Amino acid sequence: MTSLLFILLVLAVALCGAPLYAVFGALSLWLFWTLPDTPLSGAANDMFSEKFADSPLLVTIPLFTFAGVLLAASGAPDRLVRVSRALFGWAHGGLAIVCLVASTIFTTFTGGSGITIVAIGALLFPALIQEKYHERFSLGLVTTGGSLGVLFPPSVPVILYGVVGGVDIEGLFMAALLPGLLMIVVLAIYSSVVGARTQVARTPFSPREAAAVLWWAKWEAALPVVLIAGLMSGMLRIHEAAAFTALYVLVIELFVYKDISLRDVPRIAVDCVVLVGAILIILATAVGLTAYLIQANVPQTILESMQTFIGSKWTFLLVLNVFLLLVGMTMDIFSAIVVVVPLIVPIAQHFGVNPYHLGAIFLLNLEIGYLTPPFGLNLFISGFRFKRPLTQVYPAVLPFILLLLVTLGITTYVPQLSTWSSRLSGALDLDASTLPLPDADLRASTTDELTADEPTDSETLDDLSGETLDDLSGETLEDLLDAEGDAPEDSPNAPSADETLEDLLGQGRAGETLDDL
Amino acid sequence: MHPLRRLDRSVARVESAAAVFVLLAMVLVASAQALFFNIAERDVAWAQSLLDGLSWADTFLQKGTLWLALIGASLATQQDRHIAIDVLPKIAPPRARAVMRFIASLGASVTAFILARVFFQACLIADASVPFEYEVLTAEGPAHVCDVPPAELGATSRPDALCALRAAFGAAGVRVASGGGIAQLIVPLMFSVIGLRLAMRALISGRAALRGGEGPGGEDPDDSAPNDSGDAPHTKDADEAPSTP
Repeated sequence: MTSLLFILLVLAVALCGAPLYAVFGALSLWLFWTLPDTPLSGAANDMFSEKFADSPLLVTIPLFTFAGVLLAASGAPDRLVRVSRALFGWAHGGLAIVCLVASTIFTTFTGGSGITIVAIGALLFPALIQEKYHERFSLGLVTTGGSLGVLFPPSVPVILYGVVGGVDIEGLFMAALLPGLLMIVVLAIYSSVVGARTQVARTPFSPREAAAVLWWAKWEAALPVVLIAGLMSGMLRIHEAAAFTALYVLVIELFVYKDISLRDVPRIAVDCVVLVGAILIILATAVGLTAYLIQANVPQTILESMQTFIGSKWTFLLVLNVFLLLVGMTMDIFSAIVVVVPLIVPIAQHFGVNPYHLGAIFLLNLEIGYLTPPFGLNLFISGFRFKRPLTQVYPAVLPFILLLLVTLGITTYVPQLSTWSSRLSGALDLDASTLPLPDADLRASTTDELTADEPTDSETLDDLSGETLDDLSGETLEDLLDAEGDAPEDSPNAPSADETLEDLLGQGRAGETLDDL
Repeated sequence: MHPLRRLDRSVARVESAAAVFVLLAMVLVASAQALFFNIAERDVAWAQSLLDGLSWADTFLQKGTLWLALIGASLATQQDRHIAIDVLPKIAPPRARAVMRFIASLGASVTAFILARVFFQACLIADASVPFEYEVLTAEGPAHVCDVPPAELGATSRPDALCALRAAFGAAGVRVASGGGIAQLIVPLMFSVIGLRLAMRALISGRAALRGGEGPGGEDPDDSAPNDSGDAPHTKDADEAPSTP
């Protein structure tokens, strides 16, 4: 009874506009208070553990954000738009496609959707109107553009998902890659159709112009290439890549393009720190909430009640999508990740959803949530920036939301889009039911599945029964793998299974380097 | 300007300076780490020794992130840029808005103070055990290197800066065992600062509510620091967004 009263009180204070971290903080304080034998400070200790403060990924958030804020303050948005225009301006709906591409790249590197609308949208919105695109379409496009790119690292939501959901960023990147590209292609086709129908003038493609613009922007254009090469070659660990990005951007904007003067740097740095602080403090206080939810077995309780009416993975995914869309509508993306991911991950695991597939679905949902009336963040930012009432922004984004929902449906029900890489199933928990790939039998590590599929190997496998992979020494496993590899029948993917299992053994290292790629 | 507000600004200036320093140091340290590591990979002795000299880097980066997070949160409080559910205050008339702001600030302030206390205790627990690198085996058993008289240390070198800090904190009744442990104290410290800032805001908006709502320019124009980036977690944006007719 008192609990209920207290929660109502906290809700009332929250609705009065109290900062979200205070709301989460108050809730977790109270909940731990009600738990017997759990000292509050012990619960708070979680914040200093690898769950928050010691997470190796957390360091990347301020560093990547710094790079993003620097880029936003420089002439980079302008250069990005000119490059995209030289490359895509010839197509039907060229400028609209320019907007999609430039926004995606910009959000990827700045991590926040608001910055994109202000930096890229503000450049392109007047240009779109000038080229006689309908205002409604243009407004919807720049508003939507702000959330594209959230699916690709190093965007902050992806890293945050990695921290909270305990999956590695490289895997998440590969899982979100195809759904993200699909989304952009779908929107680009729509833009082309609109462009062709409104008969917008096109600028012919000029290789010379394209080369000139690319050469001008070469330093910034090189950044993604250098970054990916550094990560893939194992030369940079993820936090070093983040620091390198920040340093690189700082140097080129200060000394090459000279868009920023040394005197501006402190102001930009403070701006970055405020952004980071506003996000991370929510995560810090919500760690307590998460710890409570897990200690109080909330995921299990939800799961048990769900099992009575949800039988299959596919129904579960449908319910999950509806739920996440509602979450995205009402919560901002950071609190949503922090609060909802720990609840959903164990449930999804039970239903056999690949954790990377789950990550892609989750992020895509939140991306749509940015745009969903009435509370999507982008709607407010866009309305504010372009001085349009929300009643005008809502209908403008509707067609875009519908198209994104189509992409979400495809991403959800075609898991191969997210799990195409053998690496992605490699890091899975060792439960055969969580392996949806066709060659799952080779990757499966539970004895049942292997014995069922490969009776010839039953001797070896019998030895394994009852044991989990963790209990096995690396040698034993390698022996086993050799045996699998030698078996001529039905083992076309033996090498890949080999890799996968080695990945499993090396899980401690995973997330540190991209060597394995 | 009200003296309280002047104090608030001075604190913010110190916080900003610390944040800029930590952020730039993190960029440089992590970049140097990557550079030395890759040169040392090619069996270059000096790079290896520089890399060994950076053994503190990972701890520094982790604690630095903590500093940035907490200082940033405190500055966000000062600039009124926290992520909040602010739909109701946005549509409310001025007086109701001042009342809501009072309630929100007061509730958040109390929470911040309690969190400061809880995190302070957690800091002490987290840093209670003597870390491996500072453990020295004496006749009476293992002890912290700073607690052992220099004569008994033998070949072990004494981390003088740490010992001085440990003694200083110990004098204040705070037992810390490692540099990382000291750095973590930023969490309770900044939660206290945040609590004070929120209490100040509660005071200001409470007074405004009694007076009958905010003036035409909002009840405290000083509160919104200049900010031109207009980025995502920014409640001001939404505050000023055109309302639906």
